[in-house]
Amino acid sequence: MAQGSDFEEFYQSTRHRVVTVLYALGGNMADAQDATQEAYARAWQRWTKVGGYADPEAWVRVVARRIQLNRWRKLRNGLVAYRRHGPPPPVEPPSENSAALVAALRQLPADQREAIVLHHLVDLPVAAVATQLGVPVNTVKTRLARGRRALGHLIGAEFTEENAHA
Amino acid sequence: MPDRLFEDLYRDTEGLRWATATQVRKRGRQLARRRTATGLAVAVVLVVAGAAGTAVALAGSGPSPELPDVVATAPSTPPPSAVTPSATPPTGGGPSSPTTSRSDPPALADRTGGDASRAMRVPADAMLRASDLAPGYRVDDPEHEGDWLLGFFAGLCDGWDSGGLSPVAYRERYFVHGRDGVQQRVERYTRTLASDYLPTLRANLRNCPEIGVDVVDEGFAGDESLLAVTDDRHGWIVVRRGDLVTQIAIDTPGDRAGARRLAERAALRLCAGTDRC
Repeated sequence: MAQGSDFEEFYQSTRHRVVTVLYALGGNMADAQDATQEAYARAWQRWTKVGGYADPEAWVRVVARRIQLNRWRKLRNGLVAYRRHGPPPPVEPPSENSAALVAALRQLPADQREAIVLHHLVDLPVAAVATQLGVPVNTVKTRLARGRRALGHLIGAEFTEENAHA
Repeated sequence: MPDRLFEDLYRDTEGLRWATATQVRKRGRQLARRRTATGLAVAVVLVVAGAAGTAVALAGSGPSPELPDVVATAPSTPPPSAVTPSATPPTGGGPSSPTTSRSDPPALADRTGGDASRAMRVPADAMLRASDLAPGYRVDDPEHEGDWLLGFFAGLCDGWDSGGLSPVAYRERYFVHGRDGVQQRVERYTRTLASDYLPTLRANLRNCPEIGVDVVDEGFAGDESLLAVTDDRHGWIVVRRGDLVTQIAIDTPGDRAGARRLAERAALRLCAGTDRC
């Protein structure tokens, strides 16, 4: 029972952040929610273990991202869409600012996009981003610098100082 | 706090309708059950159940749909072709013949299943090794499900007939290189069913043109083999040797020569699990 309530609290308090990260990385809200939901189901499968991690949200985020990138899932979803009758249910359109930001993020190389999102959206320190991506800290700094510069050109973005996050 | 630039994104995702925690737990239990499921017939049933699944359905009040699976993540540098063999080929056909390398996986990295006796299980040596693939591939964790299997996709076709094919044992192994992945499953069937496997598969693909999977090459490895392709990123090598059948999912099916070489390697590896070599 306690395990179930722990999971419920975790699920309710973290899902918004996780889905926003996936939305920023993938640019598709329904796809982001689909992958996020699936990742939480997997977290529940292993909750005895995952619930004991120092940062179970990071586990869910990584698993959800893997699900989002799964090429077989994309193929399956395409076939399902082929079979589905009628139009998909309406989805609330994103705000103008969000649409512009997501479109700009999609133009960044994947490594820069991941670094930007983890650092500026998830608010992870540079060292934590490096750990999560499995690359050196200096590589993350380089990706952040290039990503910020590119976003600046694309949408006139202004970022807070990196030191505030590092 | 996130950067101000991202605050609108958070606002846009505030109003999403989510599945309840109970529904998520139910979905988790479904996944756990599916881990134990084996065989083409089971995969077909799961696909039919999953065909109704969308994020909206899960977020709504209906039953939890079957949803997809995990594969590798992320790095940025595109890896070489998944089906370009490395420099050292397998050296023979017998159980002890495949070469070993430091990149070869530990047996614990595989997923196994089935009700077979110990003697009938699929041995780890019957599987491909990282050294059989292009440089850079490594064995991934067994975090995946069987959604990549050809039967899983073909099961979306109404006319699909599993033919009662159900393996007595199987073993799965996953390889990743950056965003690319190669998945392999080896299944052991009774001898009669094993020889029915490829004819059944061919007939189903012929009867299901709407899923867009075509057999583009045949008879290049093992006792029987075929290469099925749906687009330039999704292909399946299927090889039978004796009572063992392997499916290998590849992401560069346009490289026919590479697919053939990989199939030949897989056929050699299968010899470790069957006396029909």
